[in-house]
Amino acid sequence: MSPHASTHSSPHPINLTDPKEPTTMTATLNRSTTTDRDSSTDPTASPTITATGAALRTDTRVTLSRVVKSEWLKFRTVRSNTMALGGAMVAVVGFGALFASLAGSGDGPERLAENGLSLSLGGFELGHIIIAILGVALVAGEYQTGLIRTWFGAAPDRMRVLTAKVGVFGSLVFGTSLVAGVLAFLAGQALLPAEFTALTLGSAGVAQALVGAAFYMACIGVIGIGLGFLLRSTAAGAGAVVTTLFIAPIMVDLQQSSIGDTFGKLLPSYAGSAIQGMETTSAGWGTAVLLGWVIAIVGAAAVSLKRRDA
Amino acid sequence: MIEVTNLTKRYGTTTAVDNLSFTVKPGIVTGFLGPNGAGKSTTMRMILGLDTPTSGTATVNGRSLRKQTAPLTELGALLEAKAVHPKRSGRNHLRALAATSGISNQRVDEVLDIVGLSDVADRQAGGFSLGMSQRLGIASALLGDPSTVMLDEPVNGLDPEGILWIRHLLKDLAAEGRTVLVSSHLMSEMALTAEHFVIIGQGRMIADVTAAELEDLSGESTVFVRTAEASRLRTLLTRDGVTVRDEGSDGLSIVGLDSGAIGRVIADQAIVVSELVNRRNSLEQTFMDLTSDAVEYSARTITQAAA
Repeated sequence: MSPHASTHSSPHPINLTDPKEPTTMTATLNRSTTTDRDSSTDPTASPTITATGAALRTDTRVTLSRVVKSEWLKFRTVRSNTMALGGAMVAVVGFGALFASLAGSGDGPERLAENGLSLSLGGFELGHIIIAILGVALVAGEYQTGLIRTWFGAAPDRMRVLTAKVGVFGSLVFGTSLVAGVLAFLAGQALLPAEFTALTLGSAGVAQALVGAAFYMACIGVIGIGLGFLLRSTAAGAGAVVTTLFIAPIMVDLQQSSIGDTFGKLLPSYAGSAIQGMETTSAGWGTAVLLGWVIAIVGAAAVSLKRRDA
Repeated sequence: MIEVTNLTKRYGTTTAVDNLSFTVKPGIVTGFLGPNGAGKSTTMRMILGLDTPTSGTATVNGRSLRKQTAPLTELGALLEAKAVHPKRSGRNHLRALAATSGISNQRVDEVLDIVGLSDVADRQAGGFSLGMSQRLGIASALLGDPSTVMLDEPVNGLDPEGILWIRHLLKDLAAEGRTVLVSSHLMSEMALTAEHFVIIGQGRMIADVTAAELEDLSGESTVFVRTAEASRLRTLLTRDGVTVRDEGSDGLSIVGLDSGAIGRVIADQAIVVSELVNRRNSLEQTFMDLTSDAVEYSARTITQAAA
């Protein structure tokens, strides 16, 4: 069946003459509409546009699981998304292995040299930047092209779209980061010089560090999504996320005061490190602070979505 | 069916849409006309539930779109043709959109076929011409087999073959009993497809009329006669309620008598004429006349602001 054949065999005469010509205009406007009306009562009038049988007319309600599926499809059908996610994971494993292999040689980062575990997870630092900006771009890019408006027309419950985006990207980042973390850890153990204590996945603190690192990475991705909805611009969102995650800790470090110290413990980067059991503060504190950031930013995004025009 | 009731949208002190009310009925194509910046797109965004009205309501099949459980089957809309991810293929764009409502990939292929993009659907949408993007946008509007279709300037960027295609498509959609609202700033284009016209300017309603009513708004029709005996005919025709003007040495333009009445005078008096023609204001001209206040007003405010 060729739909064009039937579309073009419409009963209406095609009027290609100059519409400015008076008699033509009159004729066009006075065209009989009876044929239109009659055919509208005929269910077989146009088989072209109506969905055929099984193609539709089942259940077309919008549900959270359908929006999740849609967001997942959108993520994986753009190569730059999968490349960025893959690149972040390569950075985690690659730099982890590099730091481990350079340890003790005098070329490696001295600060981390005493801890083989944190050393082999050093690649997460670079991963954070990539994931943060990817999270922002996933949403802000849709605002910049106008795609988000098409989506809100199809799935008008904006909280559902926010939830689906956060859920899909958050769990994707968590899962891949966990795998990348394990690989980085194993590579590190294979490459670390003998003076480092040998660890296994079952050793004390290893599982916490790996799950914590993946959780922190996922939170960064979600914060990126939230900032994308809030700021609607990739440039502004990337600026905000880089400032909060990477510049603020440096500023606080330079402060060298008790106030700066207290403030520093409220930063996401410190909390992310605490979750992994790498700070003096408890992992519970780290989790609470990190979730506080996520809730504040995603909450602000939700309020903005409800109040502002799309 | 689309029902717009006392719809108003203000941005700060600017009123983009000012107390608009109209109904878009099923079974016909309704043209939504106005000069650029008249508020057509803002109105459509409110119908689609994207913008919240300052006051008033816009409903599709009795409910606001944001309250619909299966929106794609109620309203298929095309607002911005280029609203696609440039690196995602046309087919994947539609599949992802279809997924929100559980619409099958089979239907995606079907709408690609309807708009004639089947062969290029696996190319990245960023490489599409404006015409192809319009077709992709129309495909997304048709995905849910919707009872109401709303297209914002769908003719933009289409080649002549595409324009012809879209005229047929709009008429076919209406003939199937769907509600069809199409915006345009070109009266000449809408005159060929629409049976009802909603004309706005400066966010306000200018005319909500059928094609026939719009023609009546075109003002008095003029009959032009060319004859060597112009002065004699002028004397014969001049009476109360009839205005006869000279056009050149052998032409007359007559307002107030129809061509039949003039023809009878000519026959009775055996006057030889070389031309007798009805001159109507073109709909384009009528549209310009109707919206000229709105356009002039904006021109004036710009001048005032500059002064």
